[in-house]
Amino acid sequence: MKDFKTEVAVIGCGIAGITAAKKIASEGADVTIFSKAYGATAMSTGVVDIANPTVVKLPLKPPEELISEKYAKKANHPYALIIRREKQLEGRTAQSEEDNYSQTISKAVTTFLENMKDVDYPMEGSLNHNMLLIDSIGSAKCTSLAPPSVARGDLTKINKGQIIFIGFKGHSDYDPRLCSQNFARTSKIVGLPDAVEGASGKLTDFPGFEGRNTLLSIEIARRLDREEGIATGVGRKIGDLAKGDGATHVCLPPCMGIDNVERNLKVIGEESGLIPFECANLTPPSILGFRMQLALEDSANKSGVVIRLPYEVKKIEIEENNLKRMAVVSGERSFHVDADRFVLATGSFIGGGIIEEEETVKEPILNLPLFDENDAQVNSVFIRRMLSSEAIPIKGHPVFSVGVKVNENMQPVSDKGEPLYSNMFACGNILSGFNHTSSGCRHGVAITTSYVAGEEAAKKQRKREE
Amino acid sequence: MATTGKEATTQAASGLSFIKEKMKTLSLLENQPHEKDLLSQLGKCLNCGVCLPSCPTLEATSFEVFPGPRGIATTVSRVNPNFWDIRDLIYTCTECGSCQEICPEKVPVPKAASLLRGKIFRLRPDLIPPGHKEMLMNLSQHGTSLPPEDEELRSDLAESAMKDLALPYKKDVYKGSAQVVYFAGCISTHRAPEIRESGKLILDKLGVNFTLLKDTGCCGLPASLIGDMELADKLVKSVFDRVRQVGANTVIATCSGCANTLQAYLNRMGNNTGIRVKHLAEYLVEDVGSQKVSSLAKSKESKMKSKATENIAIHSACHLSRHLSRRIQDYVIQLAEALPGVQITTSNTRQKCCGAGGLLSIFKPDVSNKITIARLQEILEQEKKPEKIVAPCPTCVIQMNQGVSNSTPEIKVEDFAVLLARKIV
Repeated sequence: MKDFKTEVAVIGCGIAGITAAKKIASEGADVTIFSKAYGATAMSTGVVDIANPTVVKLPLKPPEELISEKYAKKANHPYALIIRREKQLEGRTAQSEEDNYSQTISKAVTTFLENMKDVDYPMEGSLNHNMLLIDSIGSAKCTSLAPPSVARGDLTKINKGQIIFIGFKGHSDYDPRLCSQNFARTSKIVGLPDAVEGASGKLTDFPGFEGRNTLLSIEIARRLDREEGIATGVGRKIGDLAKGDGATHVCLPPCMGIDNVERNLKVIGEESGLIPFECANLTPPSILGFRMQLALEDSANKSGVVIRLPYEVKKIEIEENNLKRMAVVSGERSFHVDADRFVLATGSFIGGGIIEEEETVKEPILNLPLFDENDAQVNSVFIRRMLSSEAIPIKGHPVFSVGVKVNENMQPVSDKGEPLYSNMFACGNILSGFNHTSSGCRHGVAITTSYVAGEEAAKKQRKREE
Repeated sequence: MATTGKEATTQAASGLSFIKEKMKTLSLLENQPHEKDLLSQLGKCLNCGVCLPSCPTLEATSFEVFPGPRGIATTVSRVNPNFWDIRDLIYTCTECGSCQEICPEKVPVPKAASLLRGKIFRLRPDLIPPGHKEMLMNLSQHGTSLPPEDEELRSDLAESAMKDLALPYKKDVYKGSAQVVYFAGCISTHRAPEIRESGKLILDKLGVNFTLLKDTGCCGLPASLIGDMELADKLVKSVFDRVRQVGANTVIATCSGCANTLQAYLNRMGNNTGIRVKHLAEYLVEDVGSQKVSSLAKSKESKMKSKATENIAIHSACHLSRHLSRRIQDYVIQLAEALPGVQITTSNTRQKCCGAGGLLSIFKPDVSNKITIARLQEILEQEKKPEKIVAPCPTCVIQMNQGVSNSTPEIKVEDFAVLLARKIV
């Protein structure tokens, strides 16, 4: 098969890859996304954590404040790098703590929100406010940006009311009884005002799926989308179940549609007389994540960015200290693609940006050096040494902070801090310096680092510094 | 009477050796290395369920009828399958590959379904669906998946089909030696002659030195979908034997299934034969150039009296876009865009299977039809309605035509080769 060319190649079609590609396209460069498959975005919570507090307790500090207080203080955290870059660009020398407000992070968040709004998947939230959501087992989930169907369940905005939990028989991803029981405890621990109460959890048959032992989220979502009458039926049932309970809100499983969520919830709200919202997703499969993935893809298409999927980049050839051409496999065929600049947004263990091989970790395309949270190189360290002795440690297992180390311009660097390749950038979950499972900033890091990587990769080829 | 410990041990040992022997005769212990490899890839399933929205069968039925690709991967990889239990699961899979395309672990569900069909074929022939058996009879008797008709009748049908399209009819040409072999495949030879004839006309128009293969035969795909891997291999091998006989270095197919099966065979054999397999769209873009196709179409258009624009939707054929390579489906779109008088209303390369995949149309026609209707509705729900659906695969065309006659007669379905022939010949 014939080879072809693109100006900038972005590898990965998750939240980081697509955000980077959109930024590159907006700067006028020709960009193509190459992706092996879906990664962690499609199975993620579908909400964007920018900066979560270590302990979730009301009142929640806004992300802006937490970035400056918590994240920027860790010198190798991606946010700290972004702030440093900004200061360098502006010639600011003062490293005072009050000076940690970042224009770049704020621009990246605004751009992300605009992009999502452009494709009719608006997300609510900002850097000035952290939301408190209920997740599918009734525990508290802090996040910064969420679609309206979820954001309506932001407990910081519900000053008074009673929440009833309703789910569907056979749908094992959300048990309203469990959720309700746990929420009773959660609300005390996070310090919810007494005026906000959790009511009971109730199961009901989903219209058309009566008597089912197993019911998938996608089946519920599709049925609600296809026939408007279904939402009416569900709404009436919810109204009946809530009667006499004094409920004002209803917490539903996070699968109330794919394309028509708002329509479905509006109908359910009208029929039941309650304010319906979707709880936060906890485990895959995630309809919220799937919805976000589709919205991101729409948004790429809208700006003319082509997503080549499934095009698996196997290798990238190197010439001097430049990346040259990629060996790509698509189906039964293989070919080469030349590019001037490359953005690695391949994710971590789920996306396949980092794999475990022979008991250690590896970056499969270029075998890049990998680092842990403390900047120690780990390419030949046994995975078992990167595990904590606790099963679920509050700081996360160290192995989940392993990634590529980058400089302020998002260029992967060696252990000496030198850029490895002059025309390569990395962003998103493949970066080190934060723990993907516990830092509370995963998607936030993705949208901000990809914004910076995109800005840098959009610049024409820079000559190697002699 | 109580048995002594020694006796019990002897009894147990003889029982065990009996079971071992029995399993050997059922060849239950003999997973070939490639089978082991495939099953271990299946075991990589994370159980994440990202694949569930992509499955056409799950979408058209329910979890209870078909638990989706995750169901196949988890059931089959976790335990040694009981064929009786998994039979429906395995034959209801369209093997379309939509799941594998987005799976983070690239779990090869379609290949696993084929592997298990192969095992059922060898070990439990009583479980092979009746429709599959019928097709197998055609394949082993005539070397084609459909019963061949009398040659004179076939060419008459082909001639009249071309007349309906206002296209010339050219007799079949069989050369002793040629650079290019045009492999027409069974469906376009015996079921949709206009596709086979269109392919001939296009290559003729472009001045390609090509020949058809005597007794075209089958690429082997249907045999492998039934599970008769030996027959499948024999059929595909026979195609390449005949290609070598005419000394050709390129095989062109209009059928996505044929193109993929032939290429996959070459890849499996180490890809060192010097023979290239190309889908028509790929040949036109890479060897001829879409500009030439476009200019031929423009010169034909300039001679036409009426210059009405056709609105078409392009359906994505699984064997092309998910199995052979997504790039070739992109070529189909690229070529269609280059044709004058053609407006593409939608060309989603991720559109799901038409419903005919994996011989589902034979195993469960009702489910298959539901899938087809879902595809047609998807296309008709678009803001801009097309008058025609174009697919680069005869199987999709026949399947969707059936769906159209069942549900939405206002739309027509046409093969990509026919569209091209109408535009440039």
